[in-house]
Amino acid sequence: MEFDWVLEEGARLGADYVSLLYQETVYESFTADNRNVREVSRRRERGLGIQVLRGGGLGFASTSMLDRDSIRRCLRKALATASAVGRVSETKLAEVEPVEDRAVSRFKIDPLEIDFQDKIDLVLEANKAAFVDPRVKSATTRLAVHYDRRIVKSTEGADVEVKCFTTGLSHLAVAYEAGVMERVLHQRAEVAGWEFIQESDWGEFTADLSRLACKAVGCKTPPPGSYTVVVDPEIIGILLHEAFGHASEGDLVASGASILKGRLGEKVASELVTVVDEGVVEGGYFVPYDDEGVPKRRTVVVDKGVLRGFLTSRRAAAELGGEDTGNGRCQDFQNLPIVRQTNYYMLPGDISFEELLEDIGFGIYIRGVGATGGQVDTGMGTFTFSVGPSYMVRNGELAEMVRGVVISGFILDVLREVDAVAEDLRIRTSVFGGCGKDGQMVRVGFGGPHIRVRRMTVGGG
Amino acid sequence: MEFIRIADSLIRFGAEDGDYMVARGDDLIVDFTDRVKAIRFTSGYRVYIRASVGRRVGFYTSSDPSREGVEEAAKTAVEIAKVSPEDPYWVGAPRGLGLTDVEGIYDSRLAELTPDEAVDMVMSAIEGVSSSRPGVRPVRGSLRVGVRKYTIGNLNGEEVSRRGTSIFIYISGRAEEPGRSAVYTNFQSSRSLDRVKPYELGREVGLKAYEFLDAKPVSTGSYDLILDGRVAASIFRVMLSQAVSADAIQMGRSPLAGKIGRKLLSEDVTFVDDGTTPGYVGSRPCDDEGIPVRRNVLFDRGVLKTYLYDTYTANKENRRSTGNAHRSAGASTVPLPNNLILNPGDYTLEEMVGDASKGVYVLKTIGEWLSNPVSGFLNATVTHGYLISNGSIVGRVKGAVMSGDFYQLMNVKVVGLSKELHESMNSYSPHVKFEKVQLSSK
Repeated sequence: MEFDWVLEEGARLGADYVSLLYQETVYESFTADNRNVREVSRRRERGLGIQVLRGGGLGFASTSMLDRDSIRRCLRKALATASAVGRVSETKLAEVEPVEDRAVSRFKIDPLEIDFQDKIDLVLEANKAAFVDPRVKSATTRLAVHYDRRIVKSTEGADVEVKCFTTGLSHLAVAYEAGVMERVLHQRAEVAGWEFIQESDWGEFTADLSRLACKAVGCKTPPPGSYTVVVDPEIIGILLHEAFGHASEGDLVASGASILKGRLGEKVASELVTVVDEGVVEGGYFVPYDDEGVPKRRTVVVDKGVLRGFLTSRRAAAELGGEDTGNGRCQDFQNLPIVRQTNYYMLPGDISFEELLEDIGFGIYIRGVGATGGQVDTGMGTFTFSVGPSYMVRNGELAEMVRGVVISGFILDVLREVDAVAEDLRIRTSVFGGCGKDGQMVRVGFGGPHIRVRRMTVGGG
Repeated sequence: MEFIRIADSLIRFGAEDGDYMVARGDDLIVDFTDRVKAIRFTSGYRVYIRASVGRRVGFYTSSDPSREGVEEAAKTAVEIAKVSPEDPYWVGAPRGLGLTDVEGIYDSRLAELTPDEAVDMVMSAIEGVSSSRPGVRPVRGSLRVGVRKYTIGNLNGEEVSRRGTSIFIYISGRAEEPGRSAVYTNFQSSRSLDRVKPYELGREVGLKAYEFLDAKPVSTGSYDLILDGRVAASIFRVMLSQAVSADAIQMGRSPLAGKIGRKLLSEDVTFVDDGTTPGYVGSRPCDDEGIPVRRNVLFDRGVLKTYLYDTYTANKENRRSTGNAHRSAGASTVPLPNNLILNPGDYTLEEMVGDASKGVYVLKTIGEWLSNPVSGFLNATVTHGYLISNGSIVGRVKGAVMSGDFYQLMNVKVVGLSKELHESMNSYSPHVKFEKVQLSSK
């Protein structure tokens, strides 16, 4: 696609700055439900988003129609919206060095080249393998392949292209016993080609989740209260991402919607806690450049408990007065980049998982497999998460399984209560969902090591 | 556009049956904090195709409405159908397309709103927050005006169209005093312009943010809970939308399976799904298969009366669709409520508070969507609530978790419903009072 003419025309029509995001994406989904193939679908989308600055106002318009007339109309709409904004406020962009580069995620086999038939067979077999117990009432298995290509160009000379393949499989197991139903939903995905799918035993994956649902359905929920909690990498990842990561996003800091505003240099967590955001990392999503064409490297947000930095886009960096950390991301060509995390995780410590448990008399080991997610209020610092089937801890050892476990609290309290960090580190991404903010979903990676929190509120019931 | 040729293309590539939906969406969005940050104007199509060859079905979705785009979509959908295994439950694409007369869902003033007018509305909302109390300011917000047009057809030559407008505005306000701060967020949504009052919304958000500066954690214990209508509506959407869907029932993923005719909820509780209510968020003349929408009584005085069906799930039980098809990104459909409505009662909020000796009036929650509609386990965290003692509000609370069996709560714990309805997306509820519910806190 040739779009340089759009930049030139934008400048000629009075724009002080024009940037384009061209995107094409293909998403294939194969769903098997209770031993039948339920849906085989493919979605292909492409389009262009145009961002302009004129008279201090930032305007944006997008189109999925890529003929010259439609693009020209789109450009004029972007200019009109910029004028309307310029009337009441001024937008500034941080200075960045324009980059020209092409980046492709690591893959061996293009998953879009694999026959539909092979994908259908694989998902159906994985689904059938889930029926390991008569208590399995329902099983839904989904295989997905995602291809995303983005080109960013600007009148400042940025010209960056990023291509990324993500593949994965999710499974929902529902077990029923004595009038009680329990569900376990989990997924495994990687930034990779078809080789990731080929190299895994998906029948074992779905069967394991069925066994977990069958075991959980007969379990009790823990009495609500305050516990010493061991948190697994999946949950610490999502907890950090939701409850702390969002609060460290520069646009929320600048506007005052974050509890971290004005706290740079302050101790906000236990000294065992170091948190970073990194664009390219093993197990995570692939963000070598953000959607403003800015390189995404490692940003240290918390260093040994002290708040050291925020995540920024060009707009947020200009407002906060710091450097652009390459976190300006958008869901698709229909949206403006806003500050988003990439792969946000806690660095590992130096003790083993067993040592974490050792001196807990009575507590809970909370686990991510089967977790349904979380929600936070970044302004108040409150969070609530529903975690998967977990284990009570008694006298330093894992005891009975519990289900329906919900954790909640104030994030800064929780991070201050971290008193041990294990040496293991695991980072995950997804091909099925991502992180939502302002109506935009982007893929992210999250994770960390096992950690121990001295006191955390646990709800169950 | 060329999409009217979809049926022809499908037949030419070998489809024996099928249907399609073409959605055109135009959105004008203003993002703001204490000033306008940016305006976005997005415009796009989505073409959804379902094609079948015998009992083999394929789905394809594309953003490209051009002649070439539609040809590719039709061809790929048929190719997918041909390699898919037979679906023993596939009977055929929907038939009997038509429209119900629904008022108040399209407002030409919204469709023609200019960027300057949108900016003026936002400035009014910002002014509302800023003028509410000293030290309170807006920190985040967005105004979104949407115009949608859908064309839905099948290989039988039937085709219908529907259109609608919507406006949604939300604002977060932050109050700050030395050593303490509080944030409060609220929204308004409507299908027409004149029902949105940005200044009033901003002012309410500002006053509430200030008021919650002194919110404290509540102690763990048993309380009479009054859920604000919006909180209740949000919880009902999470717990019931999937549970009443025939898809979840047939796949064994609903606690309501096999319970038609049984009294499961309190006699005071009547839930309906009604896509015909004038001006409601989910109101529309037909569903995403082109089947006319109607009013469906889900629970009548606590008794489960029906599930919701699209054509596919209805065919499985040899019955007719209830007009509840919603099309997912993958082009298949799933039955879900159009508007989920809990019929109101006859209390006022003041009466509900006045009758509580030890209670919490829950104004805002987060995390209710993390509840488990399959097991019926409800969970939500109260971020903003009023503490009630002996019939009076005596303070503000935050950070408590409410959890329990949703069906038990709605059966034996409901003691009152207010007179008027409040909305959360396409779910509508009065304020709901429960007696003796456990709240846990630190």
